[in-house]
Amino acid sequence: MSYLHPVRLHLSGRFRADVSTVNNDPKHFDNAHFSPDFQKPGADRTNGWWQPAGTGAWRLLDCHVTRAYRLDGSAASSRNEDVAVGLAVREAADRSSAKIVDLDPHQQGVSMIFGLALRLMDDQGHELVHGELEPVAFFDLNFARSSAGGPSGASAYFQSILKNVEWGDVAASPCLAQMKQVSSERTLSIKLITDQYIMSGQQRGYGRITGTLGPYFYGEPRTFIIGRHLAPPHQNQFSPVDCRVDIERRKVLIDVGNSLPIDPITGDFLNSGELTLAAADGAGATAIGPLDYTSDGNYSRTAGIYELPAGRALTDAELAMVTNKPLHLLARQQGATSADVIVAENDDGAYVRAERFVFRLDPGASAIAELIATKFGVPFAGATAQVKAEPFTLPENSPLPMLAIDSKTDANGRTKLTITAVDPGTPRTFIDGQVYAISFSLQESPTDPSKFDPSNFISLLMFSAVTAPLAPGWNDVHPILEQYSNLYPRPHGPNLYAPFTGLPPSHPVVNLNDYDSVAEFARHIAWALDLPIDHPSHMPVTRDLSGAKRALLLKWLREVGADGKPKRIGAIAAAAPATVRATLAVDKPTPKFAAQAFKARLDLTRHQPADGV
Amino acid sequence: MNRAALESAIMLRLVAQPISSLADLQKALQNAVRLEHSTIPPYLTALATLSGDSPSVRYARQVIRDVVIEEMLHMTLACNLLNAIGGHPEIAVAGFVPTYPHELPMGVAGDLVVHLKRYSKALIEQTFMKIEEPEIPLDIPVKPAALARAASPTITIGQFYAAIRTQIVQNGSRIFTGDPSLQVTGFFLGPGENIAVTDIDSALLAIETIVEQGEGTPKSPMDLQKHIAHFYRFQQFSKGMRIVEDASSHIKVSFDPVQPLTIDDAADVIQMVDDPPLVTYDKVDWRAEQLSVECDASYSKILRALHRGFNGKPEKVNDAVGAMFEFKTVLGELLQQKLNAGPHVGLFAGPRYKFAP
Repeated sequence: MSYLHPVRLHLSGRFRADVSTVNNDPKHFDNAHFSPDFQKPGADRTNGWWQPAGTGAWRLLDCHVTRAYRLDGSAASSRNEDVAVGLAVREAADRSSAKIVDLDPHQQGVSMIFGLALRLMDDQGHELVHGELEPVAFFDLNFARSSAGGPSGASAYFQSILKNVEWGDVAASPCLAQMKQVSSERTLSIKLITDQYIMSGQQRGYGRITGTLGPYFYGEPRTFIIGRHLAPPHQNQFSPVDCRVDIERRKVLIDVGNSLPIDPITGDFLNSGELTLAAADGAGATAIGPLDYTSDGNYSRTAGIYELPAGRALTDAELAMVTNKPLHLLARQQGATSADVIVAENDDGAYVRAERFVFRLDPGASAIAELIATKFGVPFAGATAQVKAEPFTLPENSPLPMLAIDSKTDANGRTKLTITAVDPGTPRTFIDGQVYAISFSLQESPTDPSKFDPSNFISLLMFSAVTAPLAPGWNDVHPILEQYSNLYPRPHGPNLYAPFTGLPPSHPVVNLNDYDSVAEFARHIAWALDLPIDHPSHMPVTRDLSGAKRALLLKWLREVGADGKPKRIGAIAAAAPATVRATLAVDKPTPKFAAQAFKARLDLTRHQPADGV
Repeated sequence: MNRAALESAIMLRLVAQPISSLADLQKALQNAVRLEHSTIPPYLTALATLSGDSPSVRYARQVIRDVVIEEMLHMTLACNLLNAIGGHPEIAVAGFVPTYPHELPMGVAGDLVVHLKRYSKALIEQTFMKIEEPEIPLDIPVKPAALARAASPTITIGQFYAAIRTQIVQNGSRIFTGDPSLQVTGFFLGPGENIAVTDIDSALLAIETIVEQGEGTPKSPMDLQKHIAHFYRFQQFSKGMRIVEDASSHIKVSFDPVQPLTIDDAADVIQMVDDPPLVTYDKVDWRAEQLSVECDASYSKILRALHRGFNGKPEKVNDAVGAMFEFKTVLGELLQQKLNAGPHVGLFAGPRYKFAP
């Protein structure tokens, strides 16, 4: 049920994604050919692109609860109606900001938020809700969301859970009190939609955020809803839409928040005509719309979630139709006699999705990606999932991860995909490891999930094995640190760093390219390297350091010499760690999906420059 | 020079605090925590505006940074002392950070109003050296005249801590009722710096560390700078010379004319507006205002993490340190915002240190 639930609240505000752009160009990973110019801003894809000084920080700004919904379907839009309305939504109060991180320069389409804690605060400073976002990547990135063009016209969503939720006194808010009561213990479901991201001028790095917080129910997926999934039947400017049929209340909840086109001036939904949800197949159609989505401020107050039909319950006949027939969202332009289908469910109602869809694995490590199959919104038991891995980038013959999948989905529609990483070697020479797309489908359904929704596949970064010296010295760790110093100049670049012409130079926190500077901060660096990946101060910010290299750095930082500092010179003797080599036969199955589907996505990077700096 | 004369000559002065009960003692230590913190924002601001890269500028950054870190250590030890006697440091509250421009807590530096300004020789002389001004500054390296103590309603910070010391000794071990798990250790590892305060001996050691670092007894030739009182460290930039060891000087140090310090108040310094908390940015300087807000939030996170760190979750001090590194990046970016409009056009934005909820 998740956030798409009668009890929910919507929030609206701004965010800052202080992304670094030096690392957008894979060539910049090459220490041997790195130019100091790559740390300067450059128009289009030149030099260090549009924000070379980015730190990776992700901040929530000026964000408030705009509307609160309760179990009876009533909505509160003012504090008088429900004290939840107007609450400030803030990030953690007592640690550094969250981070936004690409998986890899060759897969920039799953930027992930790490280390975000959210707080709902009243104006007396009381914390009513506090929870930690389970790290998640964005999904359904759509560059055609508004006519603003480029990233300013793009939008994507992050769906996850808040865990370790702590509740303050919420008795005065029916919405929050009900949410606390119905949600599984200490967990909530959240969806955040980001758009209007600006890449130049005063507001460079800032964008708009709109979201929904609702209950989470134990056992349901954390990153998507068990419900009905509608996607464009052909190329158009809409993104996929989710629906959930509430059988008890005889309602359909529809979420068009990341789908309907946005007016770049007002930020509200553009008029896309009369939108009607209909259940239809060849035998007939039942319309249960329309959506009332065009009033002022509608997007920020509803996050694009509507309950249908308005003002009444579904009849028995309607309920039977929406439960068993494919849902379609139709748009009829003013004066037109017929309507266009803008998004629709698969004819067979089948949908399969990976609960976790971004992985970082060391050679030999395994992880489970649970695939969850549904048919018209209910678990699809006994289905056979097929999976396939292929490298995201050249060379095509990079060693593949080992994939093992349970034969059939269980009664809950679930099947376990076990991904075991091998040593890919260094197919990209100066970029660690290799990055892969793992696609999946159901034998019982003819629809290709990654064509139905181009975001619907798994991304995997598989790190290279490293032969670590027994007693490392600066020469062993320097190449690793130098790359970070090159790519992320503001926090740890050269001692004097002046990226923008005419502005005073600044001094990074630590110069990772300089032994003395690193030695001075050794204790702090070791602390940050050792933090869990979801801690906002985890180093490296980019979460792209292999376990082997991390262990090497920690060993070097901690095994200090007589002067109390890490050693300049290490010992030569080396020990090869046990690693899983790619010995399995790389028997590539006949590709069901064109590799170009993934290659093409390389253009969909969030870092595309809009109009220079 | 005898020790008492040295102490009276080189210590900060402040308004006498009556300390005659455990409650007074706790109040005095809370004041000590505030005092040790209160000079950090002005010092940090000046430090962050030093943008040059000459040896003199790098030296100045190191000197100011060392002073700031010592204030952090003293704040930590004062919190440990307060916790040891059953008190609770209050750090994450609106009144904890002075609203600059402001006088310092407890009348330190008299009625001197402390501003947030960019680095300049004038700031060093008229604010930093005034904050740290001894009753009778030693004239290095000239042999000082007789150090008669002037009658004064104020006491030195050494005397302030001496009064705390006396009260602790008089009360005896019964006042050490604080939970030992509240002690914060492991962040400062210098000699006498990593102190958990649990009894009279450790309390006196903590006080001795604060006082001795403040006094700056030159006892380690290898680490001269850290053992010179703050006033004289700052005075180097007024004189334009480094202080060096000098056996021929009766106080073992002197200014060295062959080691000049040259800092150009224009070219080496980001031209930040004076007192950013008093400045309202024009709408066109959206980013300056936005980053000021983020800078306030970032500094507040440090204070909040410290508050939790000193009130039962010592591991949160790690998060405070992490937040300090982030603060440095936020502050650095804020100081790069050149104002496009308003009375301060052409100058750069700066930090406000406003506590944010």
